[in-house]
Amino acid sequence: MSSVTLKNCADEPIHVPGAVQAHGHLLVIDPHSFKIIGASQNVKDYLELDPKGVIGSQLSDLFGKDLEEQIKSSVDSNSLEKINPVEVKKNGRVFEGAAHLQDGKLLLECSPVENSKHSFKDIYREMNLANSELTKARDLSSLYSTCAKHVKEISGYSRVMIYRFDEDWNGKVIAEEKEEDLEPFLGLNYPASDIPAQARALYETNWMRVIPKTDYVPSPIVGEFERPLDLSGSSLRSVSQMHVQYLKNMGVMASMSISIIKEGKLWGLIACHDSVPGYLNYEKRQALIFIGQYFSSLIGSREKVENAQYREELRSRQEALFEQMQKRKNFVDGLIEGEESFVDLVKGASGAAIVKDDKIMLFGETPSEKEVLDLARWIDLRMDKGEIFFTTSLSELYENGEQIKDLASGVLNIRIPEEKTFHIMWFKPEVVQTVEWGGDPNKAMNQTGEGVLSPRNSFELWKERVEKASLPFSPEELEVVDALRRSVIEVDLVRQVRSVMESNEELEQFAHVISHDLKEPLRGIKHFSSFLQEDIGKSLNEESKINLKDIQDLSEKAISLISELYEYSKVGQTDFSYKDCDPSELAKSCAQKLKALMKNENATLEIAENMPKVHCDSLRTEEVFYNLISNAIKYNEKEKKVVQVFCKNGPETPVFVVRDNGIGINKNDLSRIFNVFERLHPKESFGGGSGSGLAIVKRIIERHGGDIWVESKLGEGTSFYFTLAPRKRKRDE
Amino acid sequence: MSKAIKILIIDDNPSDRRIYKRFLEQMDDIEVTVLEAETGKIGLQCCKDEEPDCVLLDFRLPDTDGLQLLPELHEITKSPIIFITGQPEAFIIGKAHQKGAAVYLAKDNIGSRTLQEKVRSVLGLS
Repeated sequence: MSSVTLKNCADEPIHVPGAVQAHGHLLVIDPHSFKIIGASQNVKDYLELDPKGVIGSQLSDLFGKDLEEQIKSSVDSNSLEKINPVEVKKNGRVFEGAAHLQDGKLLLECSPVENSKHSFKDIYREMNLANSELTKARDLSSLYSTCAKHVKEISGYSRVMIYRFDEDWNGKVIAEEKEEDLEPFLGLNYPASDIPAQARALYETNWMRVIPKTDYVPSPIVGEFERPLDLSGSSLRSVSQMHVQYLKNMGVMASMSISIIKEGKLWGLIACHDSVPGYLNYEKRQALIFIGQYFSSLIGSREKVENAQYREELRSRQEALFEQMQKRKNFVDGLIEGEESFVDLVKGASGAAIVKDDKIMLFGETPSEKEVLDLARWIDLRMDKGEIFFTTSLSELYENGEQIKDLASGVLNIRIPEEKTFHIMWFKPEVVQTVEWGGDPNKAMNQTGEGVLSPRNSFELWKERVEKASLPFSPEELEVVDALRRSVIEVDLVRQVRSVMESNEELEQFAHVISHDLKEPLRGIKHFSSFLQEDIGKSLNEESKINLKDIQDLSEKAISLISELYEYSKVGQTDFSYKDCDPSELAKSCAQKLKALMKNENATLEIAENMPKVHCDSLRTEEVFYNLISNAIKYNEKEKKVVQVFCKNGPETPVFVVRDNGIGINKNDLSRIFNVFERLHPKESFGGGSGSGLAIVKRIIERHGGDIWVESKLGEGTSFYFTLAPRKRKRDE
Repeated sequence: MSKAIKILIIDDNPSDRRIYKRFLEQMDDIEVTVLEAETGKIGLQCCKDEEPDCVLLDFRLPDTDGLQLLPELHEITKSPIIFITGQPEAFIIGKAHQKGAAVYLAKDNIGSRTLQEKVRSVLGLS
């Protein structure tokens, strides 16, 4: 057996020790041929047989055909657990045997039948009592003590502890039943190294391990196997010598533990010690395993119930905060003003902070603004955007943590992703705690001369004063803070969308109001300058005459600009009234209004008959046609100007077209033409105008939910396409 | 032979009143006396006291709006009321007609000619 040193102690393969304990013997059997392929050395004592001689013989040779048949049929029918324990007789001795399959081999472990104090009836009675009392336990702490009590009753061990792991795998004794004369271990902590990782891994798959006599002499297994024999499921498995030494140092002569598994993970152990050896027969072991399993499931459900009320309370407070945030324009106001305080979400938080870019708001008792800002920046550097950051001992992680330990030993921080810097932080003050250990945890392992490890031999109460740490954050708090983070993100997104929408509306309102108010003084300018012109115009010199004329012209221009802006803004502001309209009629009505212009420009307007009816605002749609048709006439230098108005695609998704044979639009300018006040040509040409006509047209169409686009060839003509409703199909041009 | 008429301008903007006054006084064949009122209340009182031949009424007034004042004016005088608005919204114009305005004028369209024509037309003058 290789010795365990400092280097390899975490890797010690405890499930393949190659030996069994002394209180029983092991046979390794081929499950097809039922030939014996391995045996523990101590078959010599139990069966008076040489292990090497046993190898190669049939199981029936050893224990009779009946037993072999019994085991064989249960192996074949996959119901091995149902026959355990089996009675095994040899040389006048009676053994109780337990068989299990592991790694393709059949393992049969036999121990002499004990004259135990309890008959099966007694065990059954005790188990029933245990289960009913466990079920009735009012709360978690009485659940623990009830379990310890019954395990002690059934097992007869002098000390039974409920041992719970923390997130670092240190353990704490949270309940204990013991003989009166023993000193209590209740409340003591034990370092993680006391139950190393590979042991914990084994305990998750195997519910019980027992060492009836600590100072046993291991019995090696004789036999040739293609790989080390896996004894994970074996109750006779020989344990790590480190563990044996540990128990001896503790003065424990018999040890047993049952796993407590919650949601598939090792939660803790029911750990039992005695100062004298104590053997547990198969039935007792099974009863204890059953209690352990029942207890495990009760812990899961009880913990849920105990925390449910608290969780529920936190959840409803978080929802109240969410509502508060939704109501306010600035959601941060909703977070900090209002009945529900976000600071109180975290129990024991003495203060909180909200950091947005370089602005900071502090609540309650917190470090200084600068300290909080520095901390926020440090968190930014080390945190992934999605995470919640928390710690109960900031000074261990953050170099400036020491100076703020009084108020911020514990920090819980959430971040809102898309903002540059947005943190919400809660602070917990330092609470000096005393942790009691069963022995100095720093001396858990002693190093002897050649670097060989040996477990500590002092388990005396060792008090550790823990400083620079806060009380912990509960899982419920972490959950609700995460929910808060998600609701802040949601509120913020809605706010962003709304503010974009609103700012458009506000701009339109603004344009509407201001255009009206601006026109007044401009009218004054226009008229008074013309009065000046009338009264003293003749006596002015040439330059002054021109200046005066310019004043008039400019004010006229300003007025018309504002009028157009006003029209444009109106499109967004006023209510549209929708009804079924005939586009042909609307276009014809435009033709009427444009009669003079058309005659002047020698333009003809061809309007298709029977264009499909559309549901739209008739006045505004007529305005669309009017603008497009008048543009078509104006931006045309041909002798005979032709404008066509017709419809493409069916009645389902009608696309209206206004086509002309005019001057066309440069490809590079196509995207600009719909901009407000954007004109492609000099101001006086093509009939003047401030260039907002197309912008107004686009806005009207957008309000209908439609689209407008244009095709054009320079010198040949332009076609404007538009729809007056959201289109169902992709556009085909 | 020149006719003498009194025209009441009810408008809170002094620049606008000055402009209208000038346009009205430019009618050579008619002697126009322009009365000014800057609130609806003063306008009503002036109507009572002076009995103008024609009223120019602005839609926006500090103490009321033109639409509300119209029927009140009608109770006092039978003279034609020219309704002036900066917002030629169809519904305002429609309402104004309903309440008895003879005609309306859009502020942007007021030049000397348009105003004079309207006044002549409502007074039946050439």
